[in-house]
Amino acid sequence: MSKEIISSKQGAVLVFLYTLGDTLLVLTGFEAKKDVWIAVLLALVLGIILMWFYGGILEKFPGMDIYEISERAFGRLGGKVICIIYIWFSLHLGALVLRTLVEFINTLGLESTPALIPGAVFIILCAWAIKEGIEVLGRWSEIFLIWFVFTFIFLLILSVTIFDITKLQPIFYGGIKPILRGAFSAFAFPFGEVVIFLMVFDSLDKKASPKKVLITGITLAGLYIAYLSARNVSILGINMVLNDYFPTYTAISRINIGNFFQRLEIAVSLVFLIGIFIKVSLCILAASKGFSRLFNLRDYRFIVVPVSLLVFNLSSFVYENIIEMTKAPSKIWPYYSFPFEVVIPILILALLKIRNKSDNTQK
Amino acid sequence: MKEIAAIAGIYLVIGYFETIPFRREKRKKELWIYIVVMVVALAMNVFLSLNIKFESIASILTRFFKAFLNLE
Repeated sequence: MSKEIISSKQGAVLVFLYTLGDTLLVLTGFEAKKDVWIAVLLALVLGIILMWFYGGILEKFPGMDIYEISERAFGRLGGKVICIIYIWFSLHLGALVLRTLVEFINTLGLESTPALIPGAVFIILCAWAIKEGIEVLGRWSEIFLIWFVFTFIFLLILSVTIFDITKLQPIFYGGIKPILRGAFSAFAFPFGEVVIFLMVFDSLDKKASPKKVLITGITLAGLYIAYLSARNVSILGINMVLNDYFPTYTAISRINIGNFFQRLEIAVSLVFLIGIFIKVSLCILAASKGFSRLFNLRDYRFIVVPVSLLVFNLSSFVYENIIEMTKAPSKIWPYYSFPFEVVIPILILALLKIRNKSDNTQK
Repeated sequence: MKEIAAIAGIYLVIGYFETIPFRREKRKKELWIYIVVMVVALAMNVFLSLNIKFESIASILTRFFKAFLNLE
């Protein structure tokens, strides 16, 4: 099987779209209330430091994923345990994101359609994309980035008319504590979730610098999320944002210029779909690669369909209802995801450094 | 029961066509992994079809972390 290669540009675009993913729908860091944009920027700084670590791991072992790297750090058995842990994380994350999309479609679009249908259609597309390989996904994301940029500029211009900057004031009203809490939750969701790229960036071009790719991707995405948070608060006000399931969608639906430019939320829905498609696909890819590494197989493609079905079915078990879906990302996810996103990668890096040192002293 | 039979039928058809290369090349390991993961996915689907209520993963995690970290 020939090795798949994605360029640094494609890699950065994938990171950008992946980070935005479902964050566009369920915004993050709202413990900081009106100062949410400051919390997101603070989380971005922490995220960049984390990407430095991730990039360091990938740069040390070019062409290898975290499954192979953890086998080097923890030995054969320890590596397999880490492999199982990350397979679970990928499956769980994929299911959460898919469920968010299904709830979005069922709440605002197809209310009478069973949740099964949009989820099934979406997962078929994701499985198809992954079967074609990450190269195809990389090229696809490059093309659809144009739509992202177009809607960003278009909506930025149009929404200026309904901006009310006073809704963002006073800044630092609640003190620093809520901002730090908001930053912690924004750090875990979405910046820390980029850990999935440790499982799929073995395909990154060896000439490309993983650090540069990861940092470029999340910096752009972080600035975008900070802008979205500030825009939503300045259009809707913090109380409405906190009580709305999908505040970005509601904020855009307020745009009405001369009764001509209106109902623009449909353009944003497409942006949501693109981001979530990339995120779910990459989670399936990471889990499939994990399965193939766990059983020492060469190719991951054979397991893509069963893994997609697992993600699809798991999405029915992750949340009870939409209320739980909106509360969980800020309440539980930061604590739950912290070991997967920070502790294990840092442990791997530390162990590899210790091993390298002991090897050098033995020589 | 009809719903479960239909779902099992869909899984069977997908599995049959997807595993043609493994069966032809006698790649038993891949075939078995494929079957096991498909059976797990099918089992989850059966639970859903039978309307057996489980506590959601999010509420289990919420309870765990509330107790573990003394969260509000």
